Amino acid sequence: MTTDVRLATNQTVRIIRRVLVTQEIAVLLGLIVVVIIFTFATPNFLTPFNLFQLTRQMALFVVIAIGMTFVISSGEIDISVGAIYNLSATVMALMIADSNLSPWTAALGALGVGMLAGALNGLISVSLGLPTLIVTLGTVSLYRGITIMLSGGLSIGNLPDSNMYLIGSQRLGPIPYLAIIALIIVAIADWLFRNTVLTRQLLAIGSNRQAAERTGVRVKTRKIQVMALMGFMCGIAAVMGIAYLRSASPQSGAGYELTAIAATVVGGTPLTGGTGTVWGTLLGMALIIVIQNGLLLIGLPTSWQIASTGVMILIAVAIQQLIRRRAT
Amino acid sequence: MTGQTIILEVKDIRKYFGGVKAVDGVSFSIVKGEVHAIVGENGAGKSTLMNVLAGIYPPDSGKVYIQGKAYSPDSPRDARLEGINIVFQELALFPALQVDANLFAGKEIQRGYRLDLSGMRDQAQSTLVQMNVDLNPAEYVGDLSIGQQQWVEIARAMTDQSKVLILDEPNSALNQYETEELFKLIQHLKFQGITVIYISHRLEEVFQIADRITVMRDGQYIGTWNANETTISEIVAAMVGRQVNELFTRTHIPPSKLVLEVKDLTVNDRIKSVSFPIHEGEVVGVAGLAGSGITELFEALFGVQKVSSGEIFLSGRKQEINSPLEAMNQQVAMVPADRRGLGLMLNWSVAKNNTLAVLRRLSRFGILNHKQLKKLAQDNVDQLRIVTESLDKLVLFLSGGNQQKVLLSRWLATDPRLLILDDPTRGIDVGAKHEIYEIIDKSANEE
Repeated sequence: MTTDVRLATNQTVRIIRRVLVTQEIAVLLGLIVVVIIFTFATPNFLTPFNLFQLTRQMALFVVIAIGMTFVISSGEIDISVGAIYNLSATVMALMIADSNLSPWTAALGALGVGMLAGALNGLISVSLGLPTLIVTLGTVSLYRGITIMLSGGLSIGNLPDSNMYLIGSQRLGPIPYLAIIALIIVAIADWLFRNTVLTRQLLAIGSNRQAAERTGVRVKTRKIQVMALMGFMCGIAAVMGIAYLRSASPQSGAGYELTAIAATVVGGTPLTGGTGTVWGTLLGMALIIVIQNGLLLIGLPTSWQIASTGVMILIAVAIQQLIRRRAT
Repeated sequence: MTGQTIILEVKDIRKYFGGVKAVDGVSFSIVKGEVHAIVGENGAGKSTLMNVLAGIYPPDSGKVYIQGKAYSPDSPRDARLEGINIVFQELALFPALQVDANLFAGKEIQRGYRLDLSGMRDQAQSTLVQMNVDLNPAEYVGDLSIGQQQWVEIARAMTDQSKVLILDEPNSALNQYETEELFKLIQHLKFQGITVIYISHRLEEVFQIADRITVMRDGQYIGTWNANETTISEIVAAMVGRQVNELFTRTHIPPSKLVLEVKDLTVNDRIKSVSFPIHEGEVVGVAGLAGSGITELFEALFGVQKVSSGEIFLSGRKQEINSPLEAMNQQVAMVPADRRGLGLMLNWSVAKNNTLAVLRRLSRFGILNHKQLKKLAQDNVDQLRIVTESLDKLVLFLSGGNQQKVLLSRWLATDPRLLILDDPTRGIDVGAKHEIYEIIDKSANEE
């Protein structure tokens, strides 16, 4: 009995291995399949309006997920990204509304705040010797608390006109400007991921921290740097968010960390660190958002969307394991 | 010989993994009550054969007989029920549990629905006494030394009423004292009629403990010798397939300039006031029992451990080395003993691993020069004759000897003036050892 089951699983594994050469291809195929399914399942999916909304939303999340890819590749994790996003957006909105600064100047504020918050995460982790998981668990509350203090718990809206909101709402042909910006950021991030000493050392830390240290890697410095980078990406996302919504709400950013982590893992970056893929994260995010969107259009309750993300993470990790087991 | 019964017989066993013929038609027999050593280079098939005997996986063809009866276990559990037990090189114990809990892990004694804690404690005690081993069953395994932990693993096998005990490289992590204790234990087991199969790379010790020695090479059975009727050279020749005259020849050159001078070095409480000089072109061996402080000394020279007092002079100038980066800036390199835990990035490729120490040199403004990196990676592989189909093969899949070569090449690429090697040939077969000694010899003469 057990031998039959073993044979059947072996067969399936063999087929999967031959088709899915890498995780990225697996995700791409999955994405194509899902798009086809939803196109037939509901007429509302493949409409210009829906695609427009979809890609704009993706743009924002992708930027955060890119930062998360760097963080996870180095063996860490950041669950305060939603809070950092929220804080950066609020600061930017306040700078525009209260201090009458132009959105472009205020954007610098968002970037700065994001980077500082991220750096603080790194600093606390390094000086106290705590894993970032624990540190960011704490800073979530810290950053959300600061946001509420600054905003008084209120939404900040009615921001005066500016070109920035045009970028958030217009498109170049069928593609939203925000999506174009996101793609450019992904391309740059991918290039940096593959070609810098910084990333190579981050990956080394993720693969074997002690061995990396013995190769002359300044582990503490790199950790602070990668967390600051993460915060910076949250800042960019916050600017995009303000451009999109033209307002900042005190609840924004909730759940962003899970989506970012899910996209990273689904895309092929192992949670254990040591290797990573930026384009994979983009594809992973696309898959997640498309499925969420599709399920919504079909009429399924929101809980299905959350469950679907969870299922995808499981499948992604399972595929990762299968691919890894192939003996070279 | 009279009075000898055959307890285990393998007939034409074959085991293939894809295209690799791990065990290719092996037949021989084990005599009851003997200590039978199996030796061979990495990849010879010894561990695969033992795994088959221990029920880890079935052979693709061939038969095994225990005392004349056909034996084909479906799992290690079946094997244990037949009296065949294996103790692996990597110990599989539970450090947070006590010795008796470890002894009965997975086969706990129950009284109705409850665990019979006192029963297990008593049985553990009597097993340990029977083994003539000085161990308290109430101790936590995590508090024991590696040697003692090994006893626990063996005791675990003993609680199963083992007939045949297979020890896979039992003493690669033991010091001399612990090894002697292990040998005493094996003699004791032998005295009680238990058959021991012993796999090892350490030939001097194999000759000490074994009655008969079987050599395997490339998945094939080469021969079995009585230990008292053969020599190390004969066995090595059989293992390697060619005559190997000496284990290693060194080309000596007269020492010249002082590269390193250590004066009154004290590190925590491990090293007290150590002083010694090292000259250019010298290969200085540092020997001592495990725990005598060698690794700490090396780590202090490399900036991993803090120096409490004393001075280090490199090429005549006093240096303070507080981190591996500072050591590297002084052209000091160190290959740690634990190549998997402290050295290699196991899920990385050969190329990425052997270029890791020279990233800054092969980059500009923080941007990597991939062409130069690839060239260096290839040079490293060529010069050290690392066996791998491609530069992108994950280091995880390389043999121990080749993994060590990758790590070694990483550091040789930094062109150091002082290269520190901590136990560089641990767990590596004779052929690869020889190659590494050659590399060391060549590097010393080129410096």
